[in-house]
Amino acid sequence: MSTLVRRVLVVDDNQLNSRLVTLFLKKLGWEAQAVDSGALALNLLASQKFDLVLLDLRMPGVSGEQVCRAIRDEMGLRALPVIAYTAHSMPEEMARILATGFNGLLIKPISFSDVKRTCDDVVAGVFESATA
Amino acid sequence: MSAAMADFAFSRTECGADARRGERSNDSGIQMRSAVAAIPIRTAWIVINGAQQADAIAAIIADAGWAVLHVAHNMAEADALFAREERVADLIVTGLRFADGDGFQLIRKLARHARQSAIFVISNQQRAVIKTAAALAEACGLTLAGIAEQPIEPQALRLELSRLECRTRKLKPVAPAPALSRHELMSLLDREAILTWLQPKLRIVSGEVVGFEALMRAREDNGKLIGPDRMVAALATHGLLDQATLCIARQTIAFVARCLDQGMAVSASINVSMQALSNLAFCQALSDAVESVYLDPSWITIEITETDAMADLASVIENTGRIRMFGFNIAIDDFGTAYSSLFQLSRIPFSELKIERGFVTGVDRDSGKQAIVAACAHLGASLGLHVVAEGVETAAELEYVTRVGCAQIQGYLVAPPMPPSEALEWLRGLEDLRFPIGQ
Repeated sequence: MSTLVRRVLVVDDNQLNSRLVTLFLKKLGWEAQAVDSGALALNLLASQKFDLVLLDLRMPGVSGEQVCRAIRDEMGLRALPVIAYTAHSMPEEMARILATGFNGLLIKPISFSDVKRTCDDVVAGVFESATA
Repeated sequence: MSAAMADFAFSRTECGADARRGERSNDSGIQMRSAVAAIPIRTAWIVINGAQQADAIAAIIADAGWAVLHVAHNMAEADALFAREERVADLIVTGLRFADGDGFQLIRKLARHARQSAIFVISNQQRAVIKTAAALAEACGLTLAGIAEQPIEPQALRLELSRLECRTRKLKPVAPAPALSRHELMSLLDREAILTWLQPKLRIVSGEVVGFEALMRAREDNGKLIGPDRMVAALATHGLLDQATLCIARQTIAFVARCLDQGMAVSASINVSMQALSNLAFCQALSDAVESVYLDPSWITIEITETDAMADLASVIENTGRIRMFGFNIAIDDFGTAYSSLFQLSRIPFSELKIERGFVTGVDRDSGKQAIVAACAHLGASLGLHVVAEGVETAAELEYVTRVGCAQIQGYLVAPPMPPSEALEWLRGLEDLRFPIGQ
């Protein structure tokens, strides 16, 4: 049974944000784990399996984009869906973020349906072909 | 919302609250209602070219329950009425073209001598001309009872007149309240009597309530509620607007943090003047306010009016760029009311565009408004902005703004502004923050 539960890693230095997203993810039937830095996220990804990573772009220390590059290049986790969690962006900025290796964007301020849509996309395998 | 629009919006807010939530009427609605009740007979003057037509219209007006006191057929007779009669009628029904003048002159005269009277325009002129007369009446601050083309349909006229009673009740305060003095304003600030009322915003596609706009209110010693119409300009005059805005900001930020803490994802927006944004200490205070409750600033949007946004380009870019650097979002408010330079618009880091309520009200029935709303929505969406239609009150308005690509709505169709405690209860009553619109 436990293998059916999907696991998500939430990386955000703001606790109000990560608590809210975690709550939403649990409501959607996911098992959520939250960390507040890119370094902690990379440690955890090295030892545990996740089905999705929600990554805040603006964090002190290692930035979200650096974490994403490490996930793709150093850890070789090319198929793992990684979603950038970011403030409103200009179209050219969004294109750049996606080019870094993110599968998608979750624009702040988020709503429950935004998180649900992201999860539904993961379950439907929307990101698989893009990262294969 | 700009200070200029605040007057209108507030009177609608309070009276709308009257109509929709009966028990809330004690705030400031009492005076207005008793004033209406004190006018037992509604009186009308008719100023229409041609005796036969004038009489026909007078008959319809009388049939609708109005006391038609006088019928004039040209400007000279109308002028004589104004000179002779001690009291101008509650309603003036006028044509536009007379042998010795026109309805525009009459509207101007009415604005000078009898602003409490409502005006109804009936004419066989082109629709564009009739609408211009209506626009003139509104620009002069008169209550527009309605417009009709000749030949008129009695049924349609009666319907318009029945709406009028409701509208005058909404729009006409008894007497303008005196401007608040510096001392009174200081006292409100000292007593922390500046209050935030919140009006929800709904994302159309998901039906979710996603945020609130914070609106300024204050409570007088005697418990009476004061609206932004009496406060914003006075606060600005006495150099106290920044301080009051910070009060509103702190209350709003606390509200959002509380919602997030309770698992409800709602953002909020605050109206801020460009003057305040140019003050570095003000921006720092805003930033400190979000940090003090550990709130990610992207949950807070700073609304600036289109007029403010179109001021000196370099200053506007510096001030909006800085506030964006602090992590706040920026909205352009009352869009469509000023004269945007598209170049300037593209240089400012907005995330949201709010279409002025005046264009949204009745948009489903007015092709001119439709063109404006559609163009604003298209422009906003093309610039990658969330487009919000303000002042949505009917399902037909919602249908139109949705069709042309507005992403969110704000207005009575969802809910009126309410105090934070009430807003929190209202949110808790929703399932997954979904508002059952159109059900």
